[in-house]
Parts: sequence; structure tokens; C-alpha cells
Amino acid sequence: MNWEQLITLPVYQLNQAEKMPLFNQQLVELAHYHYQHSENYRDIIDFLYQGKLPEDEVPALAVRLFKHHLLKSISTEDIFRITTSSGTTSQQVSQIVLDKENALRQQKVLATIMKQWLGGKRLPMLIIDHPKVIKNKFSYSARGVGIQGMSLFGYDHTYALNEDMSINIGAVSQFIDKHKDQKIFIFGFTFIVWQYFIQKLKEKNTQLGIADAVLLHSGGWKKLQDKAVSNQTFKSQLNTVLGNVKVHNFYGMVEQTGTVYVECEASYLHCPIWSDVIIRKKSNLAEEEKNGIEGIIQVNSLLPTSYPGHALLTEDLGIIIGEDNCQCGKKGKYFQVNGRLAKAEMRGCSDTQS
Amino acid sequence: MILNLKNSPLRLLLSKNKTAVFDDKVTLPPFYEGTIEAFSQLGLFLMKNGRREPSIVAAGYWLRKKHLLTIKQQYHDRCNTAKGVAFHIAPGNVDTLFFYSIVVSVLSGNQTILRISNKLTQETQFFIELLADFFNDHKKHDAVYALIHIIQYQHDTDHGHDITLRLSLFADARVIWGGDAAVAEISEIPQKIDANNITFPDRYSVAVIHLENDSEIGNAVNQLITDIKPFYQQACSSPKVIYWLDTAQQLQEKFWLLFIEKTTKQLSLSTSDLISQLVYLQRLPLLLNHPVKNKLNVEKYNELHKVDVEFITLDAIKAHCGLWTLLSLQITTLADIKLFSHCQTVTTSGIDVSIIEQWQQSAKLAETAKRFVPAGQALTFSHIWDGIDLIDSLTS
Repeated sequence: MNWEQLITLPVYQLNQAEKMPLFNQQLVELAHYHYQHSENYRDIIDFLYQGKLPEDEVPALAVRLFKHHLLKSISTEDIFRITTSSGTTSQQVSQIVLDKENALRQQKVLATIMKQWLGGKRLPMLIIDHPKVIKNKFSYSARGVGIQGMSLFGYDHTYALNEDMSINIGAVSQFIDKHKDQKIFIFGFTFIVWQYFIQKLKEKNTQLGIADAVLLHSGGWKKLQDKAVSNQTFKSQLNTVLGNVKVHNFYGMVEQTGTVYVECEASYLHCPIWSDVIIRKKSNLAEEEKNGIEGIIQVNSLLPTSYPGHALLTEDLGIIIGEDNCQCGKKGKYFQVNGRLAKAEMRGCSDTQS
Repeated sequence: MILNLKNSPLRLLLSKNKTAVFDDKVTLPPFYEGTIEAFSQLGLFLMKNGRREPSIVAAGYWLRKKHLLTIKQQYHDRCNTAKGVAFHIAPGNVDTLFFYSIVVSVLSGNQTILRISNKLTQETQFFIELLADFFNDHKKHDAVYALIHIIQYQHDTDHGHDITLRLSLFADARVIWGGDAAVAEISEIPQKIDANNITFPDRYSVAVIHLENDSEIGNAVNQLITDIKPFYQQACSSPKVIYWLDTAQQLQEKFWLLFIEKTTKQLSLSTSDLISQLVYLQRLPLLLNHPVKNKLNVEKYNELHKVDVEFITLDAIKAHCGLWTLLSLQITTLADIKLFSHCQTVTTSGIDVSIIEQWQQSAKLAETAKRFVPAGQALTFSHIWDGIDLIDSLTS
């Protein structure tokens, strides 16, 4: 795979006929690469597909597999970093093995995508979190990785929260005042932005009156859905409290860091050129051919080379809305995420505890 | 002593008339005539009114008078008094186990308080409604009904923990179903001095099948379906492994063809279960290839996956999540079967009783497998479970 060329491709400008033959060819090559370099991946494929990669599809691994096994396509000496998903102590976390090259590629792709939404220049950056969330250098948590990754697109990084999750109002006001004549970049995790920033400012009846900002947020709607907060409510309350802020949610996961799916002005998530989304049927996990039908999201990405995470079946529900014809003008597939699949009814033997 | 939990955040199922006040003097003699009468009546009631749920009918059948009296007979010279109060923690994976836990406890005469999962399946809700209906319509069994309490509470909160602690300190016996994690966690909660802690940790089960000719296939298939279909094969006593004892490939192929025929549209999985099943299948080669490579092959028969293996690893058994996956091994003699120490039930089909008895007595096996039953009876409850005599443990 020639990344020098791939990285120069326009992020959202190729239509299906231009993108898919190229993308699929690269993805198949990548699958063969992992088949050769990851013994575990080869064992899984050999077991489920009679000893060779199938010709008509690139098989997806269940994303949960990375919570149980350290899957890698590089030798142990070449491990540069292992990133982990967030999770409470009781949950198992995903472990993603990166070599230097893969880690750099993730950053580069993320930067190229972000440029589309933030512009070419670094912006003053307000982070809706507390500074202690970035700690262990070798093993980052997803929250830490997210903030670390995004920090590259800003300067004068200012954390809006204290360690106890209360608002550091002094720091926030000072930051806004200092940069009142320019566009600022705000980043945070959806639930934290809502719960510890917007709601708290609202309670205090504080309006920040920001003149020009872009807010990117991620991390899933699950907790907000429980509180019956829609994307619309989120945006309108946010604008009331913060001021003139463009809000973009994005979807992504630690298992495929780099290829994020950012929400456009029409509120749809867009596939960048280096990744693709497939919907699988809820009834049998077969590929859904039609757009507009809710199913399980599979994400395919060309980035993972150090671990076999190029095709992953998530546990998220989503709908592909269309391809090449979003009203925002971007080409490629666009979709929405409808939340997490309801947890399997815990019927396992260890279920007294539910 | 009286334990008053009226002001604690717990729900009492069964009847609105019940209150969360428990009196340890409210007991009956073990195998009290009125108890046997009430239960055998209840059995008839369940068989009639629970018809839409085979597992409820089976529970009703278990309660037939003759069966209860047979159990009674086994204890005629011992088990004179009930322990007192028995606190049960029921599992969530087997819909009807809560009921057997209650029955054995009440047969022993105990004041029985059973904590059930907050997420009840429709089957369990229906079962509990039937119990309430029966006892509300049969006031003559009030003395027996007074021994039965089914409760729900949020056990993972401070209040919930407090309820578990108070019930544990109040009860003379505690029965914990639900596997290793539950057993470890709850066993740490102190009990009354001299109280019994009766625990059921994780177990797995296997099937041994021997076929000699076509005429045996039909029965063997039916029996396997009976043993693995209920509870999504997640009951500890549902076989996870099939050992084919000296059985021709051609008979096995016919077996699976018939299995497909009989289970078409019978087995279905939710999307989350389909994903859990996929996760297990993708994990299997990683779990089975140690210490040396296994020779594996997978076949799909409706929702069931049969995985041919050369040997079995503990990891592959521990990660098994039910949902109809069977590991399948070819053996030439029973001595080829190597069981892990947490094996519970061995079902057998087509094998002479005398040969099984002989095998059972081989020293190694006695330490591991705890229960040998004919195929088709894996899920049939017994008052002696996992080698624990529940009646003995709940009486003195």
C-alpha cells in the first residue's frame, strides 16, 4: 500500500465509482497482509473460512475480540504503543497494538480530516475536561488519546474543568476574553460537555457569548439518550449558553483511531476516503444491500497495519442514509448512528448479579 | 427472631398481602404432609395452566406426589427439623431454577426467602404469576405459602448490600446460584454463626453418544435438543461438548441432517446473541490452539455451530457462552474422555448401563463429573445437585 499517495487523496470528494474500486482493492490487499503477518488472524480465517480468505468479502472481526486477545501483525519488539478503550474497572478494555508507523499514520489521517472542519491553521483550544485525564504515557485511555490527538489542532490549550469536574470558570473566562477576536476550537466528550459544562453553566445562568467557535464532540449518545437529550436539544442549548458555535459530533473508536466520521451541517456522519461503513442485518448479520435500513455498523479502514483491525463489526446500530448526494455537498457514504445495541440479555451462568 | 425489612427498598413478588417481615419461628417439619399435599396440587395446577411453557410443565411434573414421596423416603430416618430460615440467591440464566430452589427449601420446612434477578424473562414472570394465583385461590395451603417469599432489590447499591447483609445474618442457610463471580462476591458477606453457605459455582457438562444404526438416530437427536434448546444452552447442565463414541461418520451425518430438520425455525437468537456467538466462534481457534495446534472444523446446523476438535482446552470451556455451540470429539473408548474438574453432568446415549457404571467408578472420574444421566435429562432438576444434598444441607 502506498501511503504517500493515499494520504494525498481528497477527503470527501470522490464519488462511489471513483472511491470504491480503489478502496476495496486496498482493503483486500490489507486483509492478505494481516493473513500473512498475524498468526491469530490467520487461525481465525482458516477456522471460519476453510483455510483461506474468502474472495467475495473481507471478513470482519467482532470488535469485542480486542477485549479478549492482543491481536497483532508486528513482532513484539516493534510495539510502539498499546492504546486501550475507556472502561470502568469491571469492564474489560480493548487493547490496540501500534507500531510507530501506524501511530503516525493515525495522526496524519486525523489531521487531514480535521483540517476539513477546523481549517488549516491551529486555533486556540478549550478542552472540556480536566488536565489529569492524560497520565500514563505508554498506555493511554481513550479519553486521553482523544484529547491528546485533538490537541495537535490547537494552541493555548486550556482545560475548562477542575479535577472534581467542576467548571474552572476563571480559566474559561480568561481564555474567551483573550481570544475574543478569533475563531476558537472547543473539544470534549459528548456526555461531559453536556453534563459538566452546558448544564452547569445553565444552572448558573451564565452565558459565555462566544463570537466564533467550532465545537467537536464524541463519545456516544448512550448516556444522553437515557436522559432523552436529542442532538437538536444538545445543539440549541449549547448555542444558548456558549454563543455562536458550530457543533459537530463525530463517531470513531479506539480500534480504528484516525478515521473518524464527522457530522456535517445536515447532521449526517461522513465517511472519509480511507474508510467505509457497511450495515449488517440485525436478523443474521448478513450485509444489508439497501440504504435506509437500521442494522449493525461495520467499519472498514485502510489504516490498521500493525493489528488486524481493518474490518470490524461494531455493536452500534446505524443507518446508511445515502451515498454521494448529501445536501452538504460531500461525496461518499453518509450515515447516522442510533446508539448501542441493547446488551445481550445476561443469561450466562454468572448472572445472579443482575 | 424477627427481621423487619419493611423500610428497606425491596419488592415482594407473589402477593400484595405479604410484608417484608420475616419470622424465623415460621417453619414446618421436613416433608410435612400439608407441604406435600400443597406441592402436588400445585404440580397439577402448573401442568394445566402453564401449558404454553414446557419448562413450567416439567416443574409441575416434578411435583407429582409419587415423586415427592420417593424423595421423602430417602430421608426417613434423618432430617428431623428444618434449618430455620433459608436465603436463596437465584440465577438469571435458567428461568425455572428459582422454583426448584424454593421447593426443596420448603419441602425441608424452611422459611424461604429467595432473591430473584431484577430483569425477569416473560417466562419467569408468568411462572411467578401462576404461583401467586394458585396460593391465592387455595387458602388451605396458607401454612405452606407463608414459607415462600420472592424478593427483588438493587443488590449493587449500598441499600441493596445492606439487605443482603441483614438477610445473611438472619438466615440459617444461604444458597447461592449463579457461578464463580456471584459465589465469591456473596460468600464474603458474613452470615450467622453456624449457618450453612451452599454454593453452586461455574460448571460445564458434556454428552457422550454412541450410535450403531439408523434406528437410534431419531431418539438421540430428540434428546440432544431437549438438553440444549432450553435456556439457550446456557444452563451449566446443558452439554457443551459431544463425545462420539465409536460412531460411524455416516451415522453422525444423518444425525445432523435430522437435527436440522427438527430444529428448523425452532432456534432463534437476538442480534446481541448473534454477535456474542460470533465472538465465541472467532475466539475459538485462539482458545483451542494451545499448547499445540488443534485440527478444527466448523459446521453450521441452523443456529447451532458444531466445532470438530482434536482436544479441548479449559479456556474454550470457560469462554463458552451457550448460544448453541457444541465442541465435537471422536473417541474410541470412554477412557479417552478427559474431563476438567468443574464438570457437572455427563449425559449418555446408546451406551450400556453396566459400561457406564464401570467407567463411573474409575477413580479419576469420581473426582470430576458429579452427575450421570441418560441423554434428554440434563436439565431435570434433582435435590442432589453438583454433589450437594440440598435436603441434608437445609435440615438438621
